[in-house]
Amino acid sequence: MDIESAYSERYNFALVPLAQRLETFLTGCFSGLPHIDRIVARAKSIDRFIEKARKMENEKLKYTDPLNQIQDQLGARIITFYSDDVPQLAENVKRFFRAIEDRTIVPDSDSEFGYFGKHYILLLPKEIIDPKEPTVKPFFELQIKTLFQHAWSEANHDLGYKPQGDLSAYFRRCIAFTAAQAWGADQMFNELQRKVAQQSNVKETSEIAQNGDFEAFAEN
Amino acid sequence: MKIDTILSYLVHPSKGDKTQPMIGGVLLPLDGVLFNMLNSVFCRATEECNIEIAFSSSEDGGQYNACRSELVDLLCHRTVEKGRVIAERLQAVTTKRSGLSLLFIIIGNKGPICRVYLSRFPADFGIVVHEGSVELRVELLEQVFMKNAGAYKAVVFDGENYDSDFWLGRAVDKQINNNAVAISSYWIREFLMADFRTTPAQGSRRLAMAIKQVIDQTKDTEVKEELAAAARLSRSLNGQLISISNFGERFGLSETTVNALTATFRDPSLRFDQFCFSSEEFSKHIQYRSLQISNGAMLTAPVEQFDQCFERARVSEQGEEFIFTTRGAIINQRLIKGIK
Repeated sequence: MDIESAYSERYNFALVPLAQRLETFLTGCFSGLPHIDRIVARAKSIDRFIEKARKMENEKLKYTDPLNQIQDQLGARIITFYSDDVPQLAENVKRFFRAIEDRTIVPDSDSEFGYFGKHYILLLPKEIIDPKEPTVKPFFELQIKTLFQHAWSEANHDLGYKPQGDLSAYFRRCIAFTAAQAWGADQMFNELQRKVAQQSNVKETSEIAQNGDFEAFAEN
Repeated sequence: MKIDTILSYLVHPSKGDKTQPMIGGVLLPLDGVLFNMLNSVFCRATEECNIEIAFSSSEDGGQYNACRSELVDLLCHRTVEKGRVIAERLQAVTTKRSGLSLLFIIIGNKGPICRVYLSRFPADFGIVVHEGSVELRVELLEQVFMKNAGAYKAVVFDGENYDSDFWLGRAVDKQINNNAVAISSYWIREFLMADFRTTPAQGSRRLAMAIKQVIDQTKDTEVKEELAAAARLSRSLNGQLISISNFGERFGLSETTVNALTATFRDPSLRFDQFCFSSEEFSKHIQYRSLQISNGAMLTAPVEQFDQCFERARVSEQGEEFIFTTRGAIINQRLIKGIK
């Protein structure tokens, strides 16, 4: 059986139902935590898997045994409103899952803007594995992102991975600019929610916002 | 599973020692009495080792575990030298209390599946007697191993791909008969740099959800009663390694009740999955016990206080009706929209 057929079988009969159960499981584990926009899980599409399986590195195939080596065949994402929520979510990940990888991804240099996010490779919880379904590798990738990190990475993935070849310098600069904007929006919303949380009197907060005294509010 | 390599090393207790003793190692022959004994242990390793473990990521979060890498390196080369690296790792975490031991590393294959099995036998004393024609010669032996062949620590890893597999294994500690410990931290965390596959929160949530589901769905009042009582007493298990199966044994649950719990899982073998019980996580899911009465009443109280809140007396010996009594001041009352 070739890789595409083998993965298609795994995709249809194991990964898709497993992704649904993973989403339900994650939703249960994270219920009650504030500011979660959504929790989603997906099986890596057949096209994306084949594309990744054929990836070259140093003129050789990056994966010699892609069915076993590609670890994000199941992926999940938790999207939260504010960057301050991420540590609490990360703590919950530790409580419910065993991680074989736990990375905070930031651009290579402090003066660059690009991809930000918290990524894990976690062991699948045993309660979602059905022994009657085809065996899959016991891992999945979990990403925790803010709304703006999510929005940026989705659009960047769509634009930046087009098959026409490398993007021009101008386009790369535009993408870095949008990353900086998303980073800035995250910072500002995070700061705002901290300030709002500090206000003991909700009415007072509302009056400041209504007066339009935004700068004074932000500086407080 | 056919064995292709057996290595053995004498491991001294040297935790914290600046100078580690040299470790002697040997490649053992694949025949003879010792081979037969090790072969039988190797073949039933996955049944014997009943606690699932997972290697931990490196301290910086990278997908790397030094012990796993050494095992994979050994699997690739299968030499006394590569095995010695693992013996040295064990030696460096072995205290005087754990003492001298004999480490066996056994590697075998079945089709594409490769297995590596490690077992550690502690040193013991023994007496050897030589019977001559006119006299007996009695000697004390200080380095006797496997005097009790059932007292050892072991771990087994199966896998196909050296890059992506061998993260999960199964372990056992036959030197411990204490439920509060169950497996020594020295063997799992210090030596293997691993942990139980199922986290305390994950296992305790799983148990709580199963209990809730059975109580909600079963019509068998005895099953409901058994589970409510077990849930109330479960706090005593905090920090102990348990499985659903021995949760049932400890609280005297009937086979029907344990089967009902097991039936809530996709994989019935989860009944034997071991995890460290967390009463904090468990009580997040089971806080209140509720009884619905045939006259339309609903009695609700915190699970641990339910029997103190409501006294019950059977109306007649054969009947199924009870009189419930409770006493207290009214501090709140609510109208509830609907009950499932």
